[in-house]
Amino acid sequence: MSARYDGRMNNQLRPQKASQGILFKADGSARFSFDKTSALCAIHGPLEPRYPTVNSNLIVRVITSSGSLTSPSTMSLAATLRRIFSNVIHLPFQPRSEIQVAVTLESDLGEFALLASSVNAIMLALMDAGVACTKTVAAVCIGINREGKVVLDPGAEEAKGLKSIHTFAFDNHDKSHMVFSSGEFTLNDMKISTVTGGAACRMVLGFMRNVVTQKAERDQKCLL
Amino acid sequence: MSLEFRTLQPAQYVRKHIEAGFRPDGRKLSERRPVSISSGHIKSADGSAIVRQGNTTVVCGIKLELSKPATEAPNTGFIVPNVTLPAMCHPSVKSGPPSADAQSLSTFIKEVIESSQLIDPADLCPIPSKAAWVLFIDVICLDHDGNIKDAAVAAVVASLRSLKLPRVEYDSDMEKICVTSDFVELSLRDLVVSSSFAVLDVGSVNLIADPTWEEEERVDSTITLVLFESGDICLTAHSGGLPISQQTLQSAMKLATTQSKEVLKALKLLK
Repeated sequence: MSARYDGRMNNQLRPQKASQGILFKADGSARFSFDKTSALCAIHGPLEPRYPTVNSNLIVRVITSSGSLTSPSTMSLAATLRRIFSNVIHLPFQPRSEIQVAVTLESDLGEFALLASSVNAIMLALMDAGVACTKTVAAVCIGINREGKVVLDPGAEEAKGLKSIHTFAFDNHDKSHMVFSSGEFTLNDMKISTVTGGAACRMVLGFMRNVVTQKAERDQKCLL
Repeated sequence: MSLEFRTLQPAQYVRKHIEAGFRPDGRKLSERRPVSISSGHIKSADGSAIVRQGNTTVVCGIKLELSKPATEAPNTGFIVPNVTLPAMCHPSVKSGPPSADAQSLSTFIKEVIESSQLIDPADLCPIPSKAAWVLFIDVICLDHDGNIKDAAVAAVVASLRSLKLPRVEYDSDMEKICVTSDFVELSLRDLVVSSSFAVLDVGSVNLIADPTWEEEERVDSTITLVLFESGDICLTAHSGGLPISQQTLQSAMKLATTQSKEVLKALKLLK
């Protein structure tokens, strides 16, 4: 197996960085990045809703680094994230309220990994905000190169030369919450990439667990 | 009696049918609505098509404009898809700025075109660095009875097949770009067909092919598969709602492969 553009092997993710509680006014916040592909999430809630509903209302907004809020791609991404997290957040827990999620995409290389970073940033921010969730999800990007080999977490330039790209989000019970695949691939490719995707999401969940544990320990030390 | 049930308990109404193994309109779970496609009827557009899928009606029009190519990509033209859901298509659609649904559909069409590489962007640039075609692909839903994705993809592919690009010449002495009245055919790399399924868990997970509006509103989630004519997959999209198992995805793949044959037949009849 030859090394990739940055020296990684096919089964290596890019170095992940995450931090929670970085915005002081927000009820919860987090930043997650796969190397330079970074997303920042701020959570405000529970808030007074515009129209009270039985379950709490989830509003997701996505802003690109250039400030664009209402372009088709950001609205589409916001709709996708809303669908995913409507199933993750325990909405009946706080009826007649609203949870606002604002995601800022901090890079504009147009990488597919931005979707994955956004999902991970929102998950960490929800934990930071103390929003009741029924599961934890993590997302990761997988590619299949021209030789048919599975390649984890492709970079922006690398992704352009791949035969297909698949973004997965799995939860802590190994159930798939999101699949976006594009390119040219067969059913067999899908099977292999789903298995790899599941394993990779477990790795990212483990990383997120470390981040939360370390923050809890730091907060404990500050209190003492 | 059943009309009251349908109006007051729509979710239960759909559920009871699925449990019994068929749908409110009498179709089997894996049955698609009959599709009819016709193209080239809108003379003011450079390419056009109308797709009827049951009650869902979608119109696609392609307008061409000549522009200067981007400096960082002097050999490529531009493709600008846009999906509109006007207020006339369904009582639940309000007039105003494009809704999240319409924006999601626009992004979906853009992803299908890019992922499938239907058109070679170099084909859209007759004179590199000087003249490039901009394809404005406008999809308008006239009647929304569910599953606009599949109808929109069929309409876009049919319009592209009917599209003729005028030949462009460059007069280097006068430094002018002339659009002649000759036409050049646009060759599509392959045909793509979209198959959407609604997923409903009534004890066992059921895949419902080509959902109507009533079914789409009341199900747990949807999966969309876009397939090439060769059978390879171009795009898979599923987000939120019920988590999908590998088995469900495989069943969806098999259904999508058989179903796309009918749409492919309709597309090929156009020329």
